Amino acid sequence: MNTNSLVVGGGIAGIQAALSIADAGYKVYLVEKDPRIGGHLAEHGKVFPTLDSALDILTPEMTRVESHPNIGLMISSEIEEVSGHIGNFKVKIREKAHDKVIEVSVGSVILATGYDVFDPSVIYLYGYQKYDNIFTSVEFERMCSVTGSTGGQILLKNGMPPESVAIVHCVGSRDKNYHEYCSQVCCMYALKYSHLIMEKTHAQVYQMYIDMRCVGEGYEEFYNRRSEDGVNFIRGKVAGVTDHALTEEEKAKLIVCVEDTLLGSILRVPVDMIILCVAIEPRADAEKIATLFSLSRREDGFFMERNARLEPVATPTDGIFIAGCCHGPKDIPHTVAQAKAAASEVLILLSQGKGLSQREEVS
Amino acid sequence: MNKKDLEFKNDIAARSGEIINRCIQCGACTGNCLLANVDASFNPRNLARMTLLGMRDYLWEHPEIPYSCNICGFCKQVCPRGLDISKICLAIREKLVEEARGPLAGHKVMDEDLDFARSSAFALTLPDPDTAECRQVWFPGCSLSGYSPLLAIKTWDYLRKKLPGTGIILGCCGTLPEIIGRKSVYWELSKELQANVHKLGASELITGCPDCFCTIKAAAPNFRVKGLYEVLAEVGIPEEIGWSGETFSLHDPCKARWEKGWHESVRILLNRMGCQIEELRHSKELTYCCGQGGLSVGLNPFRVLNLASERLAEAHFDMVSYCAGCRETFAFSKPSLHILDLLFNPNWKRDKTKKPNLVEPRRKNRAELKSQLETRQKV
Repeated sequence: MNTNSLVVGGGIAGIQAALSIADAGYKVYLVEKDPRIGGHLAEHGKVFPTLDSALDILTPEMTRVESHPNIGLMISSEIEEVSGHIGNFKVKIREKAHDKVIEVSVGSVILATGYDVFDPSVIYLYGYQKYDNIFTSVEFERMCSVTGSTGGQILLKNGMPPESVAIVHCVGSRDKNYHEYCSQVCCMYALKYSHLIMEKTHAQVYQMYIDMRCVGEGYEEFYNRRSEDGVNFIRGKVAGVTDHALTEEEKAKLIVCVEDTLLGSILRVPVDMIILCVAIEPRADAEKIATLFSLSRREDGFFMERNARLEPVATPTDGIFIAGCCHGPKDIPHTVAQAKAAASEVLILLSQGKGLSQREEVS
Repeated sequence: MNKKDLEFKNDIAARSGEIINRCIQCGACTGNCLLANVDASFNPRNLARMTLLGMRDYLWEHPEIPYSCNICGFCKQVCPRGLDISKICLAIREKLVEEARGPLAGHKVMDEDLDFARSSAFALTLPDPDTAECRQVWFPGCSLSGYSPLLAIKTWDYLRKKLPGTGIILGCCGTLPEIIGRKSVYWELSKELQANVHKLGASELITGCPDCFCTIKAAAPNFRVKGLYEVLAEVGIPEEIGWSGETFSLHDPCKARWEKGWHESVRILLNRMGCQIEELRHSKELTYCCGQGGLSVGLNPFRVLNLASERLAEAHFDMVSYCAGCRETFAFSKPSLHILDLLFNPNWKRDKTKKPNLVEPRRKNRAELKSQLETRQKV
């Protein structure tokens, strides 16, 4: 068994998986297609429910990866070809910066390739990119980060802070017209945003939700505390957004049209800024990765686990594992749990000495 | 909830073919519904809930609720579970009629229209006078016939020129009885229509009315029905009758909501005529009903006008659409044309401001159409 491992994807899942394997004393290649590791989380501001800074969590881990003697980090690199079998995979990796192809031999692979998000411009009535000041959650997250273009300030296009913000749930999720599944994290980050907005500005915050899904440890408690902040909860799936003002107070605002189902009345809510909680989707290149590594994909497009209950990080192909959002939308605790689980699967193989006994150096 | 309530829920679910249990009461339907926005007493989400809870007695006391729906399908377009509340309304109407609680008093004139359409004053089946056999049949529908016998005849003449072997059938496709809840009459009319097409030896039916198109297709999935505008886009348009690059606001009729071929071919035709199109915010699969859908004009004619003016608020130019019912509804408020006017009516500039025909003039036109066709045949 080749005792080197490969982790594809340098986000939080890939980083945690690589560190677990490396800390156990084995060599691991970590391949990342972007010029930096850290993935989506590196662009986040604060994380729920503790509201600590994403970079405070991430940067120590990133530093450990970069300096770990057992981790061979390859950034700006993509997988080109895969052959072989458990214990002896041959993987060709293209280093894009030098246009060089390197071949490595590994005994196992962990895919931690992460996610993309739904493009809401297909929901024409929501006005994304038609009107100013409508952001996706990813864009808003970036704005809240101190490393973002506004230095962490929440600002409209005209440079002023908003007086009112609407956060729209389930954009592209829980919707047979787009993605039937629930993206799991949006209710929680929507609550996080309300807190950040009320902390940084004097804005009124509205949340247009269908359900509040707060299932993790400390999550329901977080929801209760955020309710105490004074967030205006409106239960209803948003019908549309218009800039066509009917009253004086609607002038120069974006008007969110929604039925408050609890009241049974259709409301027009004028706001300065709208945040769309967009669905987490499989990566655009998921098909390519699936083909390279012989992965199966579920009907929703994410990579399929071998058995949902007993083998949640294994795949139908021996020696290839998955972790994180490439398997399906999930929060950071679940992502890290899967990453460590995948690493432990790899370590089981290594301690059993399955396959060939040849050892190869990390180059 | 008792057994009787569950029976009502299951009955309506079965009749409508909708798995109403899927509803999560998100409110996307009501938020988008034009009628709910104009008249707060109609709430599709709430209606789905009442049906799920088996509130038959309440609905039987308030039949105007299911009879108010415009049957436009916008709810289905936006529903995250794919439910069509208009189908639920039609199913409730059907059950009301079966129990002699419907249609309502205001629908009497529609029953009379239906009898008229089936009577010898209108019903007609004619082969192509120039050819031995009929391949396809032109079906103008009662709306177009009531609006303009001229357009019904000119379209037939043009189709016969471009597609020799085109017969004509005047009759009701079954939409009217279906909408007021007379399901068995709808089936009868479908069978009659298919039999008449068969009598002519034709294998295909062409119609320019999106209502007729959807209804005939739904009743007989194996029956070949073609949209007139796709046919015209294929065979080419007649010579120019005074178009000069006008801009129109294009209204997609709600029955054509999911007929992409209709959306595209109408736009192709207008472009070929050199017309500019103002696309409305609510267009194609997101279109609004003109206000007349669902035949609730019998309950509340003023509401129809309120709906129409909401719809028209998005439009800045003269209206053009491809449903005679829509044309007539808009004509109460502003200049309005049917696309066939632009193709075949040399006086379209004058006629765009023509006020809509009410019940009697429509019947007169239908009778006039039949008699003109019969006269030509004798000649």
